[in-house]
This record gives sequence, structure tokens and C-alpha cells, in this order.
Amino acid sequence: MGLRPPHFADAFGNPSGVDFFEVVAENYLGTGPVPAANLETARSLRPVALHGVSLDLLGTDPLDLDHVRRVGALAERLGSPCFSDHLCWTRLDSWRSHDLLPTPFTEEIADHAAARAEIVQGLLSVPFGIENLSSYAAFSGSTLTEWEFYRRVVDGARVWRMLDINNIFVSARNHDFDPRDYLESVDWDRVLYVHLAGHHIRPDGLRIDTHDAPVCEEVWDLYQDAWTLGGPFPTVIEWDDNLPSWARLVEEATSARRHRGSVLPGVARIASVAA
Amino acid sequence: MNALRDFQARWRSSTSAPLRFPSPGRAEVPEGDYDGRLLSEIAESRGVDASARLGAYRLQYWFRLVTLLQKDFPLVGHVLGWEDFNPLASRYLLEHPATEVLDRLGDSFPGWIRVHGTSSAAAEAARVDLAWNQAFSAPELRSPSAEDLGRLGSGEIGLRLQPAVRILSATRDWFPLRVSILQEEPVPVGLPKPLRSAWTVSRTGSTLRAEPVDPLLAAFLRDLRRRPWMDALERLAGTHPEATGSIPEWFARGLALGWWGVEGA
Repeated sequence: MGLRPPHFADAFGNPSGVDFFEVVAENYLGTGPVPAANLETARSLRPVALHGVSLDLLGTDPLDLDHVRRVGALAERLGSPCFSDHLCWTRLDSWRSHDLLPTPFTEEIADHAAARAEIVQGLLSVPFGIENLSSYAAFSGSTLTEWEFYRRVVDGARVWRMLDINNIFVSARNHDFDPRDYLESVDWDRVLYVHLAGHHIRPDGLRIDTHDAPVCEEVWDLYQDAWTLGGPFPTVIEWDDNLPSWARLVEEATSARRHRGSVLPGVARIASVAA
Repeated sequence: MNALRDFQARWRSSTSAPLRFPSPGRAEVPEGDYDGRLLSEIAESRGVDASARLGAYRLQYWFRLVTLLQKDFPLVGHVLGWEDFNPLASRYLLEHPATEVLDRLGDSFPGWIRVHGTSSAAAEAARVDLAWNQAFSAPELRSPSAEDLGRLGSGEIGLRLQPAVRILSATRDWFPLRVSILQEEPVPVGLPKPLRSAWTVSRTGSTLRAEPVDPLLAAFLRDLRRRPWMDALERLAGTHPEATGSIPEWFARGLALGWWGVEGA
């Protein structure tokens, strides 16, 4: 479960129904003792995976190696199973977008990101996973599909995938591709875990990755397809805005179990190996 | 990667350009002010054109930052109302763009409101909001143990004011209102009751509390931020000898409220 501060008391009081927590690493790199104490409590209850939002893999500023080292130290202190961040850019010179921004998908840019990701993995003692982005703009200069681009980065850096099913769906709707083509391209042995979240549909039809709503039926369907192709894999529910109660979040996790319950994990992968 | 960097520079200028506020509470992405080359690079599909797609990022950029200021400055929002707060916050952000550490995004907001705002109450509310935020996120020195207190005169350890203790003066009792807003309780319309005083905001564990304090105590605490305990005591005895009789009470009060921290072995 993605763990957010408003849920600390309820989550710590009753963590049943949750196998591990995922927290936003940047929120725990400061010197304030209150976040650190909460993180210690979380760790005492469940494993804590670290998820980042500012690595800037597609950026052109130098990598912030001090940031990576601090994340690595936090991961070691917590005994985290892994660290993940996004395939995006977030800054330019002194400007910080505080958003996850896309680029065109080209071989040159993929190789640039892979080289940066390889450096990151080299500084960490835990597996580093790259999350696929949801995006609202695609570029005429792209020479690769998004899934070819993603795979080239992960393979080039010899790192892992942190696969966001909702992001695949949002981008597929925004850019008119079949999300199942994306899933077919995934090397499931390299998936650390998957994300599920809700999103918003604007009046003009553009889908925005808001994490402020329940997972929609179409994403649940895609999740079942992913499970068929590559399961079993751990699953994290992300919910960041319009936060419901902790109990409602646990219901969403239960719903994930229910949706995959009727589907044999990895049957497509097994079938392909058998063939 | 020069081409990628050029692309990113075009993106930055397009998506961080300010929004328009045609009426209170209504933010709009102005039409026609995007980089033409960037627009031509964005593919159109499903009937959503390049401007609308860039506009989604631009709205997100401003929404995220303004929302963060809303969260950090709830008293200012209460004083001004969000319809006036949002354009004001956007103007501030144009002059103080987001930095690496979002926790510090509003550090200059109180001073900026004092100069550019129209409400002295909002400026004071901003100082209170900032003190509250800083008290929450400040690092913590070790609290003195009974053994530490017995060694205070030895020079082996130094008593310091905890970084979380914030000292400010205010003309109103803002703090119950802030707690009510944070706890999403119904809050009264209007400003809190007048109560001119010096105040401390301090933290015990994860709990924050605000206390009105004697102005002399506030001055002493400010001095403790700059110099060791014994030096501050000497200065107080020199400038306000009548206050030295209050020291034992102040010390005990500080112990109860977690004001003191220890540096040294």
C-alpha cells in the first residue's frame, strides 16, 4: 500500500490486509524527527519500499548523486526491498517542475537515460526499478513506441521495472494505442511490482493521472491481463489526493486480490515457455 | 543531448508561464502563448490539440505549487479567502519559483505578503503559519536527562534552544483557529480575538503547541538561539536584572514544554 501521512495512525493501528508499505522517499530525506519516527514505526510493522519522484533520468542536468546516496542510505537503514523512480525529467538548471515530464521516444534519449540509470543502480545496494510514465503529450519526433523506449532503458541499464498499470492505460487512451500491446512487450521477470491508481477524465477526454479516485474498471481489466501474462507480482495501490479512509484503501487492495483471484497467474508466460 | 536540452528549455518556458485569473477563483490557461516549435512537435490525437496537452502540464505545474502553499498557509487562506489567495500565491511563485525542497517553498511568503499584500492580518497570519511549519519540520537535539541537568555547570555539555522552538509576536490568538482548520473542524468566520503577545510554537514528539509568553522571555529565547545559555543569562542580567528572578520558572517551563536540547557528550 502507498502509505501517506494522514493514514499513519490508522495504518499503524491496523496494518492487516497490507503486505508491505511504499513511501515517497523524498518525504523522509529531511532532518525532521517526526517523519523519521513514523518511518521507523512503519518498518517495524511491514517492509517499506522506497519510491522516488525526483531522480530526473531523462534530464540533462548532471545526476544528483548526493540525492541517490541519501536514498541508498535510507534504503539500507530501513532494510527496504527496493527503490524505484520514474522514466521522466523533472528539472532544468534552477527550475524544478515538481512534475513527471515526458520526452520524445528515441534511441539516443533511451541510451542517455539507461546510462544514468546504470549509475544509480551502481550506487544502490537494493534493486532499482524504473516506473513507466503516464503522459498527456506525445511527440512527432519519436522513433520508438513507449514500450520499446522503456524496454531499451531497462535493458540498457540492466535494472528493473516498476510497472504502473494505470499509467499504461492513461497513456494508451491519451495517445491512441492498445495497452495490451504494451503488456505483451513486458519482460515480466524484470518486474519488481506493479502500481494501480485512479485517474481523472477531463471534459475534452484527456486522462490525467491524479491518483484521487478508485481504480476504474478498465484498469482492473488490464490488471487481470497483466496477471495472466506475468503474474504473480506484488501490487501497490496509490492514492494521493482526495484521500479516503485507510479502511477504504485496504478495500482497494482487497479488490486487487479479488480481481486477480479468478485468473491463474502467469498462464500466458507458462504457455509460451511450454510451447 | 543538446537537442533534448533545447526541447526541455522550450517546455519549461511554456509550462511555467503564469495562468490568468479572469475572475476571482477562476484560473485559465491563456491561449496562444506557447512556443510555436514546441507546439509543432506535439502530436495531436483523439481531437485534443497540442495547446490543450501542454495546457494540462501548465495547469498541473501551478495547481501543485499553489495547492502546496494553500496547505502550508491555511490561516492566510482563512483571512483572504481562497479566491484571493490563489492569484496572490501565483504572483509570489513567479518571483520565488519552486526549489529542490518543497518544504521551503513558502519561506519568503510572509515577508512577500507584507510588501505586496493588502492585508496586515494576512501578513501576520502568514508568519504564524510559517512558524508552525518550521516547528514541525525542524531537527531535534537530544532532550536533557536528569544526569545532564546535574552536569550543566561542568562545561561538558551545553544547553540549547531546540531548533523546533519558534518565537514570534502577534496581535491575535491564531493558534486555536489553525488547529481547528487542520483538524477540519468548523471554523468561525472572521479574525480570531485580539491578544497582543509574544508567542512560542514548540513541538513535543509530533504534537505542536503555541503559548503566549512574557516579552522578556521571548527576547531571552531569541538570544539563546544565538549564544550559549550562560552567555545569554549574563546578557539578561546586564540588560534586565529584574528578570533574573524569573529564570528558574522559565527553565522549568521550558523543561515541561520541551524547549531545551543538549549539545555535547
